[in-house]
Amino acid sequence: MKLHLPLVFVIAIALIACKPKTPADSAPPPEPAAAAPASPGNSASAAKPAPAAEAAKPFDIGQVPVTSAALPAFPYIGIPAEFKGAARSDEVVQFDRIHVVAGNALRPVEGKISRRYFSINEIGMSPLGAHRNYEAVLKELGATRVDTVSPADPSFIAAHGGELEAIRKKMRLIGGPDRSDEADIPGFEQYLLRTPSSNIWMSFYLFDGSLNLGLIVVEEKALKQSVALMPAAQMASALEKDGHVALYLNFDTDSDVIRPDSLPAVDEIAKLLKADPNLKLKVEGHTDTDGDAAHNKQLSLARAQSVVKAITARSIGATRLQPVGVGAERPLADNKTDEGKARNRRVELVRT
Amino acid sequence: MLAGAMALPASAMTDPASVPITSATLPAFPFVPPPAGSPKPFSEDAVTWERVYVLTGERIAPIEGRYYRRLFSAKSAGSTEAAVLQYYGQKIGDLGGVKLATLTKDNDAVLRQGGMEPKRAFEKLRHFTGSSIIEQYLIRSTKGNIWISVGIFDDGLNGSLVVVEEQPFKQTVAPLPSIGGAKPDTRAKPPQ
Repeated sequence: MKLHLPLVFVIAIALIACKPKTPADSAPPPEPAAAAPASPGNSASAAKPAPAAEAAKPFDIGQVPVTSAALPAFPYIGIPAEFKGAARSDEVVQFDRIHVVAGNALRPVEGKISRRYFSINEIGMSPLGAHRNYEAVLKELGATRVDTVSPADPSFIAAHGGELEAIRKKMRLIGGPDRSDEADIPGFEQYLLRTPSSNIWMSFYLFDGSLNLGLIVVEEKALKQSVALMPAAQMASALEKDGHVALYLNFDTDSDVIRPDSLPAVDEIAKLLKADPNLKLKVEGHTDTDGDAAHNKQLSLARAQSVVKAITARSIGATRLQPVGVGAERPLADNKTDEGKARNRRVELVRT
Repeated sequence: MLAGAMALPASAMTDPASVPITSATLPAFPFVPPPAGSPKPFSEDAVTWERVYVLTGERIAPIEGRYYRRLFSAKSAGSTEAAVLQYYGQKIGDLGGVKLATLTKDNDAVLRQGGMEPKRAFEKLRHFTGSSIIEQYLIRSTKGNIWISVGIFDDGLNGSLVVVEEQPFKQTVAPLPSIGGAKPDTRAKPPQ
């Protein structure tokens, strides 16, 4: 659809990562900041499995604390000290899509991926020792355990297509994951480490009768596009002149969670509304044309609602805001190019 | 001793605390060699740290430490079940070990009274579920406790030896080295 640009003063705030990208159209994610590991036991985000009572609740990534700890280099975790030339497999790909367990759901994530597996039996490490080691190091990094069920659990398998092998394939698991009857020796653990710029997913699992261990680390692709923060005054000017303004916010991949680096933009929107108590806005979510149209529309609405929620959390009345999901129906640019798609992924504020 | 122990009748069992600290010079882990001339064991498993259940004076209880298990033929070289038990009992005794308990296939009730199915209990003891007898020994040294148990299974054809030297858990996996070398800020920010 063509826009009437003379009527539209567009200040872009793109809906970044509005849906999963394929490896072919995505650049490698940036390296994490260099830093030292966190001190043991200091993290506020203890690596404990989610309580059973939480299992029925949908996973809310927004509830996982964001760590400001400086992290070591990807893939963050070293090999066990017991390694003395023992064989192991290490593989790193700059960008791919993989599935992780978030709560009781399979969740697609995209980014830089490390897959490591080795025989714990060969290095003299017990399954309990492996669990304790990795639990401790993940806690040290500030990660939070986010699975409420094992992917090998019959209820999980039934809820995700009925075939464990298909789930393994999506999660890139070599085997297993094993299930232990001892509560403190889980055969699978999913951790999430949220940073201001990215989500880092870490899957620990045991397989082949707990003789072998696998560790998968995914650093979600961080925003490559840097958009200058638009001050509230500039938004007001654009709305006055054109009736709407486009903003580019970062969301987690295929999610309505606003990434922390975009929260200052939300602060500016709140400031805009506080400065003009009579101002009412439609908050429109827009996507590019990649993927399923119905999904895009649903996702764009969820993201618009998420923005409204974030604004109202800043003491703005909800009656002044109306979320709308537009999907890919009103592009600003050609969806055949990456640049055009990036312009089309946006949130627009429209004066009502 | 860890949490999770289950009570067992005290009959025919010895209180671990009553075992004297050994004055013997202990050989290298796993402390007890196979009988001279015996064939190579079927298998030997060892891990640097594990949780294993043992028979204590009155309970079956979890301990943690360095773990070793040997599976071997109990009938090799014309040996007998009794001779195997006697050999290991003698070797362990020479090191200052004391027999704490004897389980036989006829006294499953001992385990049942502890609230544990016998099959599961044998697994936790790291012996075969069909074991006809398990003898539990303890060597107390100035460096810590060493738990050794000997089992016979397959109608006396084969044997198992389980050795656990109690040790605390040691962390051996660490984050990769930092690039900057600065201490991290581990404070977590509240979501949104």
